[in-house]
Amino acid sequence: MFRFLLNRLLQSIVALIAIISITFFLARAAPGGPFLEEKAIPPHIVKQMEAYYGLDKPLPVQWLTYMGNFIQGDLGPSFGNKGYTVNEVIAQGLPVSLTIGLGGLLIALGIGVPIGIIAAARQNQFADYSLMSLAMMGICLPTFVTGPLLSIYLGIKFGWFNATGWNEPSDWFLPSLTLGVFYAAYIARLSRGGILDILRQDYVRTARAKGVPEWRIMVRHTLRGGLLPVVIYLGPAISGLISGSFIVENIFELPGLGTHFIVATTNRDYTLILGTVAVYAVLILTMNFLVDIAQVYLNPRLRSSTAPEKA
Amino acid sequence: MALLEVENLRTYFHTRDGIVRAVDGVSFSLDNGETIGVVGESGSGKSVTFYSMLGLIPMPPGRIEGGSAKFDGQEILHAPGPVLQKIRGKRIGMIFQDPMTSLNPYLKISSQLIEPLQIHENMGKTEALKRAIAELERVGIADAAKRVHSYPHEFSGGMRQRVMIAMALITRPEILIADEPTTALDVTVQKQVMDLIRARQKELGTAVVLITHDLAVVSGFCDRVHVMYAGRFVESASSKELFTKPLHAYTKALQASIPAMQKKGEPLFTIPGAPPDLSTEIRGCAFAPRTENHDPAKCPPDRRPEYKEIAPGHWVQDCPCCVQL
Repeated sequence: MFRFLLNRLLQSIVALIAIISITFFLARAAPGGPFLEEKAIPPHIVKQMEAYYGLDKPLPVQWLTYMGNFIQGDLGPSFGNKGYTVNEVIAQGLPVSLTIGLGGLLIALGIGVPIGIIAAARQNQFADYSLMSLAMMGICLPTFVTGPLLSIYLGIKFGWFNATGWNEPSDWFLPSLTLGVFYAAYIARLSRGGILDILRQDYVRTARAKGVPEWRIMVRHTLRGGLLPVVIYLGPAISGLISGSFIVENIFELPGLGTHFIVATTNRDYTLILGTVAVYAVLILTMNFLVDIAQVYLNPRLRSSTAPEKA
Repeated sequence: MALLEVENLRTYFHTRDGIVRAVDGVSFSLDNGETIGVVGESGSGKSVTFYSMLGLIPMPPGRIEGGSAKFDGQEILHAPGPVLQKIRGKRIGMIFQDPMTSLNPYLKISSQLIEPLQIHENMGKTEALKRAIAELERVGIADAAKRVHSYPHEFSGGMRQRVMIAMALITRPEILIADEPTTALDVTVQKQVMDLIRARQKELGTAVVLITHDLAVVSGFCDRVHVMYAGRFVESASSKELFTKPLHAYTKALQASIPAMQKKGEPLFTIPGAPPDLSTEIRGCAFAPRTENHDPAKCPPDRRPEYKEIAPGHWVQDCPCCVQL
């Protein structure tokens, strides 16, 4: 178990270095630069600025310098947000993205898993068909449709929440709901499929032959294996929820990280691009790491390496 | 009165390709402590007979079309779910063919073993665990107190089948239904498992139903044997009589298929053809097309042969060409 964890940790570190390096060179390969503006800046001033930021040195040297600083946790100054370091920009935007992302996750699990269980328990009956049609709608509707709709109805018409902005504690709900709808729908389908898969297993027949009541078969014999696909999906889901919030942040005018990320790419704000990519990469890698551990915990066959004994 | 009395049981599956008549009029009875065998090829309806009685087939597509099954005087066909749940695992225990897949891989042996006690006898965990360990020792698992906390994947096939037996018998049921209990095991373990079932049966006085396609397994084990073909019994007699005086061509063919009955070096006997498609109604004798002495003149193709008691206790489907006295 310990070896497995160490192995996965080392893999994650290698992956992180690779992601940052590739992003570094890709960003530089894109045409344009951070100091291009409508009005041409005199060449000698551009030179001075490049020298100040170290952009005049050969690319490999810049890469080494960046990696050196990165390891120490220094992501450098932001070219686009004058006077701010990348660390400061992230420190300000990440909590917002994390809040709505995790809120979205709670909503997705809270809605998706029960729907999946009910649909599986009532397979091919009315409840199953109607819930799964609902899930299909949830998967098909893009956030730029659900977001404004929620904002208009729950925000403006009914006045239950603020339509936009990031001022009150309840402001996380609408963005999270918008984000969570798709994931809830997807998780509902995943859990339904997973549970149905288990319900077809021989050991469920054994449980029935023991006289176990249906609800107990669901809770004790089915859920653990049946929700495994959901657990595996949680890694990509969480990172998607946190990093994919750009559209939602725009709809609800939130000061999150997603907006910074997009603006940074259009402005060729190299350090901020790298900084946000690094944050997202760390998030995704951490989530996958945690999901691996959870999987081993849930599935006893992965847990021990003892070979079956002979009778 | 017999412990279990089944009268003209019919179970059909209503599928997209038509109605599959899996069990088409089966009658038998089982006394306290008796052992019966139900023998037939795959798909002959042996398992469905018992599964449908206990509400273990998916409905739909399955449907019990008629008949009656009285367990201890109580009608259990069409009985509501909770009634059957109280019987299953408490008064009728079951073990299945594949011990590799019949135990839940996500749960410890201990929690699967004590489940019948928790459900049917409202027993607390510690007490139930004590019973479970004792039961494991009885089925010959060494170091049971420690082993009980293992997961199924840590046990071999034979040990898992022992666990299944322990689990089925932990509530001291009146009937044990063993559905091909040795098919997935290798030969040496097969014998151990059959001996174990026999020994536990003697101790507890349980009646045993042995479902199998292997006539050889049945021979020394059962008091009475029913031979099943295409959803019906074709022959039924005491074990001894069935082996010494088989009447139906199908029983004879099954007997000829036992490898040990043949000379070494000769090709093994197989029954020509395949069992009939049960999704179309069978009008004549179901086995007639597969017997060598099939004679359309003698064998009316428009009615199914009657199931008759030809000698005391010896029943057979009375088809003129399949039965030769």
